[in-house]
Amino acid sequence: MPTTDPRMPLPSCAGIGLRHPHMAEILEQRPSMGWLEVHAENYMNDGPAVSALERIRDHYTLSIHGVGLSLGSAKGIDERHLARLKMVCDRFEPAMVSEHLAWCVGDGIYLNDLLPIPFDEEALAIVCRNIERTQEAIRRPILIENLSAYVGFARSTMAEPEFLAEIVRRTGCGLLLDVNNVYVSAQNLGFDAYAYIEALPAAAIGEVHLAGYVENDTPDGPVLIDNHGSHVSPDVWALYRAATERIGRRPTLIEWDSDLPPLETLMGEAMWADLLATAITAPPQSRKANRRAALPPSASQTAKVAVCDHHPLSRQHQMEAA
Amino acid sequence: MSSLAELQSLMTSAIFKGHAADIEESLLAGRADPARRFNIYRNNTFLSLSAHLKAVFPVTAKLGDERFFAYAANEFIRRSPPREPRLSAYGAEFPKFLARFPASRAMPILAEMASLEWAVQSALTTGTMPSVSLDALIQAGPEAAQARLALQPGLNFILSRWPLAMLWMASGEIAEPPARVSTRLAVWRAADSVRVVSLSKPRFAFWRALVLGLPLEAAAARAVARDDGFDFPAELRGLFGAGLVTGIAPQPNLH
Repeated sequence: MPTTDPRMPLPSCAGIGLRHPHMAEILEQRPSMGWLEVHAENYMNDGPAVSALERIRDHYTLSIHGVGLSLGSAKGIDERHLARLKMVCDRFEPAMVSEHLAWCVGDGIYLNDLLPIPFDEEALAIVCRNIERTQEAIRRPILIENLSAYVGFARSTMAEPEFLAEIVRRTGCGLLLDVNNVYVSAQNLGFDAYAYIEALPAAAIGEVHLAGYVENDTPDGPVLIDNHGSHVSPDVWALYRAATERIGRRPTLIEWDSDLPPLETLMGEAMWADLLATAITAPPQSRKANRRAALPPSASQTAKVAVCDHHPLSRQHQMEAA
Repeated sequence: MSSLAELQSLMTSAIFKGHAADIEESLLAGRADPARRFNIYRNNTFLSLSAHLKAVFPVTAKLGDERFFAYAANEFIRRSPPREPRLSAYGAEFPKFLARFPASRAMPILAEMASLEWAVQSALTTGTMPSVSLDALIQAGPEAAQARLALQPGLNFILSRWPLAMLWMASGEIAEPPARVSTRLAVWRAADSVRVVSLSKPRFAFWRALVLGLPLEAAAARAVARDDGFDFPAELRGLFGAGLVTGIAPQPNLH
């Protein structure tokens, strides 16, 4: 059972997804950044990347983001993989651990993609059982991220926000709101992204993700692909603004996985997220001064130094579950 | 209505068979064709796994031509998909696949280069053990001849008919097809880097015999059989000096 509040152990500012090509630069220059998030599966072996992350961990707050647990698998989660996730958590003592509302292992095959599940009672029971098993094994609550989807299911009996809210109620987990995923799914499946966010249990949201998508032309019309390979789009920034107005300021991650840009580009995106959140959540009298942050960002925006004040030189051991 | 387990099994099958007829009625995609939309997942699976294989086997990909590699990777993924989410472990069987794959039989160098690249990948993802010093062996006195040495767990050997190390160092950038030359390589991790070292015939025999668990004396005999000038003391110093020895069994009697 969860023993700590999952909602705010990360600093309420922007962080970036840490990928291997940026590790040496971060170790060498130690730029000011709110926090860093890594994919758990990249650190499940010994190797140079693990030792580099151990050194980085001494200077930055870390979040662990799993992509392979397959919480939506009807056949349950792989106990060996869960043990590896626990090993990573024990090793790096992250401030936060998160996974996806998805499945990625079918008939014993790892698909290396996150697939959607129907939103019905059977799936709800399965996901909750798998989340509870995970939280029990790693002895801490986790955040569950909404997926970007290209298809839905005829058998679904509830909307995704309702499904997520029920997961939170039954398991005590928190939510990771991926704003880009909401936008991509809404465009692909034809629902209202703003209404989706409005329907989520705001207090359960412990982290936000932002990323870029690509639009592909198909015989059926355009489809948005969540490729994590470009700047956050103006539409997604607008949705992020609405989300922040609704739920308040949350730790916000800039995710970028393909066509990885220079580190300063990611820091620029993180800076923009911080400026926007500051402008939205500032007291009314100071909002006028921050009005410029409400303007859409330029795709060429970069920064040498992030503006977030948080530079966690000390670890956050107090957030660890017993 | 099928159970979630059945639905997921059908979706997995659809990804690998390439058609979504069995699940089409289960899917919704707004005004789009659900089957066509479902193909996005199939493309994601195959493209991301192909990208992983290309990242692990970059020189093999270059030697074989990028289009051929994409074809071979696609076939490999279809026949031997990953069985666990830790992708760093995926690709161990790719060298063997290339050796048997009819389309690459005309270029046996591909499978051998893939073996070297997998050895590098293994070294990068295998832990290292603290090394022991030669002094520990010297203290065993005459018993040392029967000692068995444990070597770094990430140490791998490659035997090839091609100048693999040269090609690997050049990232496969070659003007002409390489001439055959017998090559013996050892690959291991040293701190944060990987070492790819060309070994002489007797040294290769010596190191491999140690990894097979032979006592020092027997391992040295294998080396001497290939070169009676094998300098055993110097070889031992080199082996320990490289940090490759992680244990001595049985433990030397220090009394």
